[in-house]
Amino acid sequence: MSTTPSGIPILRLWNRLLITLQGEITDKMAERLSEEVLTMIHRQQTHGLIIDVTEVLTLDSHLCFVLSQLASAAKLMGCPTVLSGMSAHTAQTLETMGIRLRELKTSQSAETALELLGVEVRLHETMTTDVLHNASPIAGMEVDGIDLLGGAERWRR
Amino acid sequence: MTTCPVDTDSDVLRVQRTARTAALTLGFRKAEADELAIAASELATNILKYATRGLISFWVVDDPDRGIGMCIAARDQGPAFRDFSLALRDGFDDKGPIPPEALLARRGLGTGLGAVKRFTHHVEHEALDGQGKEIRALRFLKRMKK
Repeated sequence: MSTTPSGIPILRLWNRLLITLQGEITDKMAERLSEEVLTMIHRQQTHGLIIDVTEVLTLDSHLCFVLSQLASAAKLMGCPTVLSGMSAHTAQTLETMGIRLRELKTSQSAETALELLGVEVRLHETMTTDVLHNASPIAGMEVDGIDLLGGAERWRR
Repeated sequence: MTTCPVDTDSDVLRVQRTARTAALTLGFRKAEADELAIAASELATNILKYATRGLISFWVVDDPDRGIGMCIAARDQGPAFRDFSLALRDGFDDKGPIPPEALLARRGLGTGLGAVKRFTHHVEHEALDGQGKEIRALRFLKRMKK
């Protein structure tokens, strides 16, 4: 993570940049952020940009303009942008304001935004100590054993 | 009620904050207060962009028919609008449709005043004697009958 002169942290995850906008954003912060993000995209290959607006207090037409400019510039550099965290209220507000974000894909959460940008998530259920305690150790070994033997046999052939 | 000078972009944040607090104090719901904060923010940003500096003030109004409401007044020394109702339309200024290249130069979407109009019940514009203008946007606590 890099905290930059704009004061807005930019997170690199699997070569995607995640920006979480929070609270009050001044015009200068938004413009500095745009420069920083574009420099980062230029320096290192980036497959996508996520701008999360869940915690933004006031999304006015000026901030929308700066964000859509950032998205257009990133697109020119081959990096698609997803705007995430649109609450029902924010969405309605933008609609009421007559703002159409043509350059931008949108998603409800940063998770779905990562998926839209090609990150495949596989969840491994974490076993709690309770489950481990109640599980029959022999059964567990058998399952492991069969699998391992099968693999080993295939290897031998 | 309260007056905020608008001179820098951090003043825009103060205007947003003041609008939200004032609206909540008056009894607007949170979503309505957010909308009033956006309306005030648009007016403040316009002052910075087109008049460099000005004032945003917030007033309580008590209309005999409509009841209690909040008025956001934006005053600056910039030129008055020739045709204010035209400028309220999205993508328009007081001279007509804004060409795309002009929008880019202005760093805007051309929808700021349109947003003010949609988030309030009444918007008016007054050319001040000598120089300057005032835009007043009013929203009443009671929902508008459509």
